[in-house]
Amino acid sequence: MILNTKKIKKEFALYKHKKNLVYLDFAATALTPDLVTTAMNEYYEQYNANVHRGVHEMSMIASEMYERARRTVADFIGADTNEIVFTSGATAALNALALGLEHLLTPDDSIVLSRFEHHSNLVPWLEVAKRTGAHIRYLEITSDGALDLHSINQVIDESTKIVSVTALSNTLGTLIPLETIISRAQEMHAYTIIDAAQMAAHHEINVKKLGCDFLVFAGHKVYGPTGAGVMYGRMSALTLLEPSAFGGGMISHVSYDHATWGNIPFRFEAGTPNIAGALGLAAAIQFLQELDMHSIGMHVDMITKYAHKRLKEIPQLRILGPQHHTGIISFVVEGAHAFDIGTLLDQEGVAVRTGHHCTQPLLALLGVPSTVRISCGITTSQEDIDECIVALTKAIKMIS
Amino acid sequence: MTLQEKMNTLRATFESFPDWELKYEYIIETGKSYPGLEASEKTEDCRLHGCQSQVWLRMTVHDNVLQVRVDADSLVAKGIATLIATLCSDVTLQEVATTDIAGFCKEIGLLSNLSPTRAHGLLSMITTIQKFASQQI
Repeated sequence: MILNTKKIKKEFALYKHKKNLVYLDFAATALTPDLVTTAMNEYYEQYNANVHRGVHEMSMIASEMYERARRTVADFIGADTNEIVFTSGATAALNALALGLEHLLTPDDSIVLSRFEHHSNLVPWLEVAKRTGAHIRYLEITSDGALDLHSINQVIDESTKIVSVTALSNTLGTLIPLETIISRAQEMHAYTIIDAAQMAAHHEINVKKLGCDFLVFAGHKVYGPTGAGVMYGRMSALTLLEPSAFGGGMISHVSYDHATWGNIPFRFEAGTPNIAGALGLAAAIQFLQELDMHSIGMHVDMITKYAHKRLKEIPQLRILGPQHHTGIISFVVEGAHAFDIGTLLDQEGVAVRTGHHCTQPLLALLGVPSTVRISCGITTSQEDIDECIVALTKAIKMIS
Repeated sequence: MTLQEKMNTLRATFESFPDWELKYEYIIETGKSYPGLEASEKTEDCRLHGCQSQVWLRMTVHDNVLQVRVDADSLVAKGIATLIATLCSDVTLQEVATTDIAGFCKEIGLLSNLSPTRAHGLLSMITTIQKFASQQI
């Protein structure tokens, strides 16, 4: 394997507490290395103050550290520092985008999503469509679980104002051809939003090369804390975005009758931000960068291939989705409910996800009520996969 | 048999399992051997919410005695639901309404080994049965 998973596991207190844990649920939340909690504790213990407000020393240190965290995030995805907005997560970022771009939409316009979307990149747009009269269209899925390339030119046309797609399916592990989609959207002068929630932890991202207008991801899925997330916006696109949360910290001037907004990105960060969360997120990013994003990508790819090969050895099991899975594999077991499999795996210390994975329409399309999903990360070893296979075989035997 | 006697029997059964495998084998076998509900009985109005698997619950009362029948689309959920339904059947409404069944399930490890999602489903089943029993008294 590319990464030394034994050594990396030592960086996580969780593995000390749960010695036999086989964690295969990175797509739901990645684990948190100790240096993330250390960075957050340091804030509370050494310079616990609000940012951008006080003149006292602690507030200035907190502000400097918070803005340094913003630079770390910007460098991580190849953005400029003032193009990074801290949010409470990917869901909050997508909601802010849906609300903030709503003013651009009319009943003649279309919003393009894909059939793979997580509810977080679907429900906000359903609401916007309801209010504006704009139509939602979907990039199609092929019978083997890939994005249907032919649908890109058919679905994205002159009426399309916004294209908002996931980079990587959280249910199937399908990699979405972003370059082709963005290129078509640009031809049609549509704004592009990338939900990189599943992509950011294990793949190099450069927003300038990608050419998207917006990109979002969550802190807890990149080995950072929960409640911290990122909304990147190209500066010219951010100027079109209306703030959707109002109050302290986001204004320039306020009278009893009127308010004007502060500079970007602050106008999108109303109220006291999750300062410790931002610092923890920056620490997580630095941790990933030290491991090297390219090596992480290769490791996750290799271990997923190994998992795929081992899972295929179990005859009762049907793997859903594409030929090539990126970090995530969903499957169903003939004659067994995913809930049963997940429950029995849990008894063996193997943590997987079961259910609809917040993609109910996709599962309905695939004709399955729920799946068992394994998702790999930087600590996943061949031994973890082997133990999962043993537990899985045992579970199937118990049920059948 | 009173509800208390049934609970004592189930406690003794659970205490006899040396490991999780035997306990789950018992739960799964319980689910498998229980007839469940007819397809026409599994309607939306009797479906429990809060559990990853679908659970249906039907209750009747005759001469102050409760009958509970269940079904589920997962074997583990069906097994657990069957154990609770069996506890609460052929006993008086008063016994069901006033006994701490949830506490008992936790005590014997039927609840503690279940994640909050599943525990929530189980709890909502117990709550629904007890609420029904109280209303029927």
